[in-house]
Amino acid sequence: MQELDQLNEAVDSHDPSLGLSAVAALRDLVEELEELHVDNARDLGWSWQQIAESLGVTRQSVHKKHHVRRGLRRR
Amino acid sequence: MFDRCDEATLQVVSSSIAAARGLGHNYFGTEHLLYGLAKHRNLLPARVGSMLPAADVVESTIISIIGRPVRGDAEALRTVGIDLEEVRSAVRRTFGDEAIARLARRKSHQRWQPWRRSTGRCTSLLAQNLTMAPRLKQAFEIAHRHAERGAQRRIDPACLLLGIVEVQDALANHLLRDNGVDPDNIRNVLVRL
Repeated sequence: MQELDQLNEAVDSHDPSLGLSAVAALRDLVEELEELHVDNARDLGWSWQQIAESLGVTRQSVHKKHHVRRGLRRR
Repeated sequence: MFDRCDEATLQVVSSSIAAARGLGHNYFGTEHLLYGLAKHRNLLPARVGSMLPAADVVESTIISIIGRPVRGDAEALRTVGIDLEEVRSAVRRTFGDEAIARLARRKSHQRWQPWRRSTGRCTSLLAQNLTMAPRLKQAFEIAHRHAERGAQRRIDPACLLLGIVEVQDALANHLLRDNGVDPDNIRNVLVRL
């Protein structure tokens, strides 16, 4: 039984599949939160420039990533 | 689809959905609905209700057939110290339920982006949206057809059960047979009501 626990621990701490799926889930979560916050900022009348500065990216990249999606949402 | 259901059926459906989530499944199938019906057997005609296996038996059979998913996103996030439930409630506090519902409805429009899933539709960690299993849809359609013939024209739990047992290879029917209940018997009793 103790051996089994040890095996479990060894698998858990160094298991790449767990670490990688955690990264994938984190990425999904970040994208969802970004969508929510960008939508919120735009609804409050923020410019793409202001949003880009807060996100630490260029205005072009934030616009490219979000304006089509927001257009679809409004339709 | 759910707007054609009566109060009792909606109650069954919502506890079935809760069961699907509780099992960590990302879809909603006839087996979950069978669990809901077994749990709320008092909403069914007594003769049929007594034929269904107990709710916890249904649940353990579902686990033995399908099993729990190996590891869900929530569990993966916990390993890096993030409580998805906490994040979800924070988002709900800030943006409201409507924002969460919108995440569930969103469509993939940029499939080439790596964070979009390859299926073409977006899953949402925050909304935890369930997809409807095709046989569940079929069951609802059959239930609706039966309800049309009745006086109340709304899907009641009995119609729903009839819908399930009439879908030939629905998992719920395998599950009933595994527990020694013949779906055809249930069907015969329901039709004669």
